[in-house]
Amino acid sequence: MKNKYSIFSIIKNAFSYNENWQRAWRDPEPKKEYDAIIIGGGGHGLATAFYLAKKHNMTNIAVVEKGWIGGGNTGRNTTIIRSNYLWDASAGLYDHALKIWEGLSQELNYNVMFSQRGVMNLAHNLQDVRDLKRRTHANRLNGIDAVWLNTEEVKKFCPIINTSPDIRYPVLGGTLQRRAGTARHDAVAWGYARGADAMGVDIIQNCEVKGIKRNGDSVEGVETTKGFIKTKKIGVVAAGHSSVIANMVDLKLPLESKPLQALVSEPVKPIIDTVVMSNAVHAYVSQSDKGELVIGAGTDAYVSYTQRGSHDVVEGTLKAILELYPIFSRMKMLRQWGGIVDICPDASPIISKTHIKGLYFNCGWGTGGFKATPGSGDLFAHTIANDEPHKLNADFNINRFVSGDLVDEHGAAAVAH
Amino acid sequence: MFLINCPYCGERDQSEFSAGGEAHIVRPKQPTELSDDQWAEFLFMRKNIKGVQFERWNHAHGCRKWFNMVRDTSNDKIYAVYKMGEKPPTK
Amino acid sequence: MTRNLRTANSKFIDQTSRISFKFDGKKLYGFKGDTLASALLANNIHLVGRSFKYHRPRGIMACGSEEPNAIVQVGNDASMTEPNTRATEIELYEGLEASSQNCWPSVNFDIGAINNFFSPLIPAAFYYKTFMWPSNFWKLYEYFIRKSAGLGKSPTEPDKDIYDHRYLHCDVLIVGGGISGIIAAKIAAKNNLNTVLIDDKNILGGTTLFQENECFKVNNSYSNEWLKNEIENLKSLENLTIKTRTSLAAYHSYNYLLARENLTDHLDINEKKDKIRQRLWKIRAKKVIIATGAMERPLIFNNNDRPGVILSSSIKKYIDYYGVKCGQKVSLFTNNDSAYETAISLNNSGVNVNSVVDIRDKANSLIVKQAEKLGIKIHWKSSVVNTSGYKKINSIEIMKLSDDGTTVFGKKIKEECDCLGISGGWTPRVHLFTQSGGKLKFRDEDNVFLPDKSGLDQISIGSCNGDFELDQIIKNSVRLTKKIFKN
Repeated sequence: MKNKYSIFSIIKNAFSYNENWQRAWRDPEPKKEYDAIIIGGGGHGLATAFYLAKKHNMTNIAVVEKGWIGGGNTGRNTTIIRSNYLWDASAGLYDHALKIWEGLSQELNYNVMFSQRGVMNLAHNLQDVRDLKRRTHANRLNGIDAVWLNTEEVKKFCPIINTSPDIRYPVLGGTLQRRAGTARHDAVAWGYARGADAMGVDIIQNCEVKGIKRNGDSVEGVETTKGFIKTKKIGVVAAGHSSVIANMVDLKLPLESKPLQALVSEPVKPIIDTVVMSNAVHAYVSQSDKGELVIGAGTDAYVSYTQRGSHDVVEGTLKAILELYPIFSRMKMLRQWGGIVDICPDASPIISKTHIKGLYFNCGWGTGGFKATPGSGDLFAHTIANDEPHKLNADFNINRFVSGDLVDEHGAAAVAH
Repeated sequence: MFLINCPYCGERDQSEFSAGGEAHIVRPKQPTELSDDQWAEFLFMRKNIKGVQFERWNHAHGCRKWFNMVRDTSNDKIYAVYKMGEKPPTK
Repeated sequence: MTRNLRTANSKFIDQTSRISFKFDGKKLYGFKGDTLASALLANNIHLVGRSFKYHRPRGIMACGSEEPNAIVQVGNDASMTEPNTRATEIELYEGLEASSQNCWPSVNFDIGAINNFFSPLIPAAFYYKTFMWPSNFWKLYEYFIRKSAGLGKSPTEPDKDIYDHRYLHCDVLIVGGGISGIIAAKIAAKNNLNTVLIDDKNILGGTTLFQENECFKVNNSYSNEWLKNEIENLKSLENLTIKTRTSLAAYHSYNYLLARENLTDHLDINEKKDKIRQRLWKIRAKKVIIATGAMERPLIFNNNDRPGVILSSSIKKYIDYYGVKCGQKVSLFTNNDSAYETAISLNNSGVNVNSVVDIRDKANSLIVKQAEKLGIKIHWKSSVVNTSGYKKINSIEIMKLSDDGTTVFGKKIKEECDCLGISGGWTPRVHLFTQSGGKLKFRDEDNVFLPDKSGLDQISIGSCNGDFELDQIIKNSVRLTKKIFKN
């Protein structure tokens, strides 16, 4: 068992000049065979491995990652966590995740800095008002906290917003989910990795999957840059590269991988203590623990695997930010980057079995997968272990695109979709 | 930010264009005769290739015409553009 | 102003036009041509900020965009204040008000410095390991963590300034107006190509502009004289547009670049009014030539972060360009020849150079011989192992290096000083190249990353391409620039 992290372990290690900390996870070579292999060492993949080991006693498993853990979209997102989705199925899925978030630091013994500072969605026109009010009512029917705020209440909740009626996109009101907030994204990957590793899961980095070996209708193993690894169950959690893996078994997915950009400012003392999103003007902003303004932009409309987007998308976002927060005009942006997001036609994810036995996909989270990390891992682990979906992810199967039972969350999935 | 050579207008900035997704997906002549699987295939399933892909673009803030493009999605390099109805280049 | 910290002979500072400014509320004076950093150093102010976490004293360490320490808040008006601005990049103007960040109640007496005392208790990533009990207390812990994080302060009122953006299309964009950029600009413009040359400083010339030494000659004249002539000749080239005070901010695909031009930031406070403050240039260039130069590397030793520890090439720029002495008794620590240029410049300006500590066995280059001839003391095969002085360095400890260079031995020599110049060699500024999507390669001889493959129509020339010797820079800049115009 790993050494427990606490104030006492910090004091103890201070005496030895912090030179004796145990490694948070091992760096093993792959074994010849595992009971299951997870492709993709992001938050969702590591969470899947963690819950497979913890809840389903599957400890002879490996996570294979072509780069480093948390180096993809987990380390690139704007860390927003909320569950105010419209449909019952989504509400069930995302609130399941939110409930796990609320005790995650303690569960992992790793502070993921989940900060319930509230997420506010702004309405800028009458249709926004109708949509957001409808969503507020739907949320409350599903037991999810949500309130409607009028313009004055919006201003009171976040005083730096420009609520003048004379601006191009005046603020007509907004919804607020107080239980929502942000977390430290890297810590989520590291916390799950440390937890999974402690139960015996092998986390294998710098190991790219090159092919999937099949025997008739079932999988036999994966071909990787570190050799062939035998297994009967493969869980693919490869986000933007899901289609690349699917193409290895001639499977087509209803996905398009597009660039999504974000940027942060230089660190400043606290100036905004909540998360504000605006779908109509394509902008959202929060402040990180370190003090940076964290700003999310929209997606580019074309398929690209380059992890970089176009300048006009960022410029449009910053124009909107400056209209809503004219005080930020002199702030300097420190970094800007892009991730590859795999988007489903109905803006909802896929957590599903496939027609190939032993092959499972967890993908299509599009622009908002971070918030679901613990729930997604838990439900995907259930699906892999039992070869049967949990009732919370039953609606998110691949076959919904054939049957037509889509879960259309374009309204709630936020700016980028 | 790409520089796109519209087959009708010449080189223009990417911000004048809108992307229309994968090209050469043929609309079924008799949709009513398709099975659900075939319809899903037509409507939703995409190759989403990492590499050379054929796709549709529209010069939305220019001539407003649709055309096709061959582009490598792994580095955004554009290899060719050609008009609707023209045969895609083989290499 | 402390008079004895200014030399009389800087060509780039107008010592007849005095400028008054305020730092941390104290009224000070500098001259036209100064940056905030050079003016502060001339006033013997090194301590300008505190570090992010342990609140250790921070002094000016460099002289340009690479400055990591001297990050200040400019202005105190609620709508016009600007956080996190590098003192080395602010041109001094009448009425400038700046203050240090991340310290309370003042930079000299900072309560937060207690963190330095407790530093073993707050190692890297301590926050992931604690603050988990009781679970509902995280909100409270976080309030204090957030309060202590962040550097400057955001404005709280809308910005009153005016901004602008424009498009620019050109055949060739040259980034960086140092010696390589100037050579490339001349070739490009004479080739009848519509050429744009941009540089973030107020004048062209880079570091060659103040390289006045017989070791560095072009066509039998001093390199700085030669370059001044070349810059003068650029003015007659019709195809060439020169933009100074313009920093390149982004390099997107298909040679689409963004640059920010500063239009009023250097003007006196009453001259700024009703003018466009900054302009964003959206540039589409057929070819891009990157000539961004190189950055000096620091060296690693105990307490190398004290105020007064400055990059050796920056000390040289402060003395030769701004006429400012970073100290009166300067020691230098190096692993290459560049520190000797600094030693000679300091010596020529009447600054007492204690010694040069060099980790090498011996060097026989012209510049080292010149320094030896001037009587500058050199500790060969030695290393600085520690420094003292809390808010300003006051002495260093020197020890002999073992043959394999991995350990030190012998007696510690203590040397009193008020400034330590460090030079760990040079790192090509390949940042723009990598941002454009280019891949780097590694050169083992001097441990540098260099531009390698790129999918765009661009080249890197000069020291950002790994050429550090003057004749090499000129020869390869000409060769590579001519080559890019052939395809």
